[in-house]
Amino acid sequence: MTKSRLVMGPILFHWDEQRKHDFYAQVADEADIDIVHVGEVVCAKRMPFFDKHLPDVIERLQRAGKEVVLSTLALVMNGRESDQIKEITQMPDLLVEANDISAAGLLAGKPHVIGPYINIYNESTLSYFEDQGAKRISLPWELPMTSIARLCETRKSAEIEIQIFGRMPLAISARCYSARARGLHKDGCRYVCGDHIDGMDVATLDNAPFLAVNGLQTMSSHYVELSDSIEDLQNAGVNAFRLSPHSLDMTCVAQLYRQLLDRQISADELRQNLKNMSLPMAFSDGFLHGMAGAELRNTLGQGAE
Amino acid sequence: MELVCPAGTPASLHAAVDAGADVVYCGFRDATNARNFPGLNFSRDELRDAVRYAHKHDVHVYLACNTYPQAGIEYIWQAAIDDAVAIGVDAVILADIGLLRYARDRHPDARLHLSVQASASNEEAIKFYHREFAVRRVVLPRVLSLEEIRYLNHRIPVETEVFAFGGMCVMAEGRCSLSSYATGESPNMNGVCSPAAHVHYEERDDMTVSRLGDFTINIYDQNEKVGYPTLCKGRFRAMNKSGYLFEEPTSLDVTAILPELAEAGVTALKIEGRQRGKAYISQVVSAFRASLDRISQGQLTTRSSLSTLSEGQSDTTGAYRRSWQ
Amino acid sequence: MSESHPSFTPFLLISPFVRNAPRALVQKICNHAMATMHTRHKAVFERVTERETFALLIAPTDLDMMFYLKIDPDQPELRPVCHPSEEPVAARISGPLPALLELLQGKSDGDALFFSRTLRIEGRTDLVVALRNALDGEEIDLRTAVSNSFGVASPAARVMLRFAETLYGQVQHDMDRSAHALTASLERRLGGLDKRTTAQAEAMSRIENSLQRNSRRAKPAQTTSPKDDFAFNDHT
Repeated sequence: MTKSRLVMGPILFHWDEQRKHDFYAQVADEADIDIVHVGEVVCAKRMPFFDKHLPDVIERLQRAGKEVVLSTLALVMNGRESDQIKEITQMPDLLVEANDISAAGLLAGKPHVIGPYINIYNESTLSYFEDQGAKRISLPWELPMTSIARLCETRKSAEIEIQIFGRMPLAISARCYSARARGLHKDGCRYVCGDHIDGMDVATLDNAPFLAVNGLQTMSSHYVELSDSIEDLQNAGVNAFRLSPHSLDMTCVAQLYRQLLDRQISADELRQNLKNMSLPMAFSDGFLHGMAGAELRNTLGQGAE
Repeated sequence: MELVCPAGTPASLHAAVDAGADVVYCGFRDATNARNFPGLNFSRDELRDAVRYAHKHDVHVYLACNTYPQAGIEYIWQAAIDDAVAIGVDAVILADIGLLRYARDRHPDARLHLSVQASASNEEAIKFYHREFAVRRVVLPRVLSLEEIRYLNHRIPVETEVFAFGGMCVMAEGRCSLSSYATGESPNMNGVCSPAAHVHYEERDDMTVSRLGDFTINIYDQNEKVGYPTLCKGRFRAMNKSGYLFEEPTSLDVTAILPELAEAGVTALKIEGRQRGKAYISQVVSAFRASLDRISQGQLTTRSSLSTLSEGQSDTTGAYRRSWQ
Repeated sequence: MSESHPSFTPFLLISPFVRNAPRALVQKICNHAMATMHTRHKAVFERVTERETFALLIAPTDLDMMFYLKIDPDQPELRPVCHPSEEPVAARISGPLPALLELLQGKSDGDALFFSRTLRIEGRTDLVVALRNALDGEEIDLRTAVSNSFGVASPAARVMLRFAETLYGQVQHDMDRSAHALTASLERRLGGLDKRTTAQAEAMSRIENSLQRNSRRAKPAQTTSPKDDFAFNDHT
């Protein structure tokens, strides 16, 4: 079995420039991470803020020995966004992750990454993208273990990736719900999505945590946490494991998962450590087990209780 | 513009044909289509009879095979395409890339349409499906504005079909796991959204509580108009406020902007609602037939009279007007 | 919920007679209706029970009587019910009888009746949806069924039936008007009251919200009345 690679997914939230800078500096200097994704996935309106810093950030990460991938928009809706995608996919010497079919089509013929926003549910589709030159394919969040195993079995050469930590993107819309919650329209949004660095909590009328809004994106309130199934995933043939950035110490999170992948700590220990971190999180792994995505099969990390 | 109408049963198909549909679309009775509801859809024999009836009246039939095949059992979806082509449907509506490739290779003469579930929302994506799989028409996602549609139609080599009436997906179609997050069943994998088997109504004080899986998705009083117990049309709390965060219970109705859609180069209008009864089909199809006929005779606008059939008994032109965003 | 609000339909007028009708007679009518339905539309029963057989409670809101309906492809059953809470049913459908009959014949859209709150469902929604779908797939014509049931499909019977329908329509029209006159002013006053309650509940929920945050799967807390704080005016 080849070494499992750890991937830092793109920052999905609208963090300010300083926070992003600090984050990538820390990832470059301290984190035991193999691959780092940069770039805006959720909203084109956020792009001007950090795009100008990207060349420096990319260079710094590469100098630190990381494989850097530029992630692209998940929902491409107009001519301007289409043109941006075209421009990005024509950049030489840069690995790009397609999160919309437009990018996937433009990247055909050269090595690229297929992101989790592209619908890959079965062998034929996986095989199609491999034929187009995808070298790593990050599978959608709602796939159950049975499908993941089957896809691993039939793939030819691409790396298969699964997100193992972080809130799961569940939907994307033309409408901005961060703005709507403040009584604003998207065109005059005042970038209020930036107020919630891990997403805006959405609860049911009974006050049960349910979802998290991140601009155009609606995410799970629960954090997916697959430590309990890491061995099964590795055995099935999954070779890349994605962490989705949040406001807690991601270097520490990365180190925990690195140790878990290398069998140095148990899933129990990892979960206990996550629980002791600064961010209150509820976990779930239902999708993997073919249940409702919000479900958690086993309660780990209860210590000696 | 061509009027494309839904049918969940043979009776509905007859109703649609009789009410003036140009095309009726339907699905097989299994997980291969996005309205996999109990008691709904067509057997092979029923589809054969339906196609015969429709063709006799110069009406076309499209088969929706627009869920994403599960790994290991793709043959079920492939068989659906094979059978539909053999029966003689006029187009097959697909979303999955593996399936599109299969259909293109196996049935090079079949007319392929791209389902809204593929969420092709831009020029490059649509060109991709045309180039790779010779897709002839794309059903546009309900996230695009009128201006965006007009722009696209000038730049793509395929026909466009847009939603004209019925349920509103506020999220990009085919890219939404909200339903499976709460229930384990999703539009992409199971052909259902917020399925009835996971919906429970509960009386609490003087209110009705609707729950989806473990989650309360709405609470309303005796007289309030409601919609489907769909997750994205529920009431939630955020920022110390509560209400319809994503969308109010409402349905799409483009009657008021039909001339603009025609002018924007749209080929076909799609009516949503394979899960609705034949009374709905008759009423909506006749109303749109009449509106289209009036417009083709030069009348510039028409008014809709269909709001009683809508969720929450209210209508919206949705994303077609940019202010919706 | 439905018990306290009878529907203003002409059936309400005959409700006292129905309540006092001999059970045996009602049962006889039920048996006959079921047998007719079963012979004429066996497909409905087969379609619905593909996954399971089940029973429903039908509660016409304009009739002082409820019915137990068992959907079984071989032995369907329809009977009046005295103690509804004791019946093992999968779901309960309530609504005015005319709406239920129109639904049965596919003349009105079940979803629209549901959106307007004319029709209410408790319990297994999926089974009710399955039944609705199966019924809608059939061409059910009550008029023919009823006139055939009177032995001869005689023109006289049909004339009588049409007369009854016309009369029914007129009575319904009159009842709608008087119901409106009775309730309109009351509704106006309640509307004002409602606004004040909502404002108070809103203040309450703000306090409540600042007190309790982030309990995973919180127990059904106190129900505050629903509000629409996010509402934009995107409707026409």
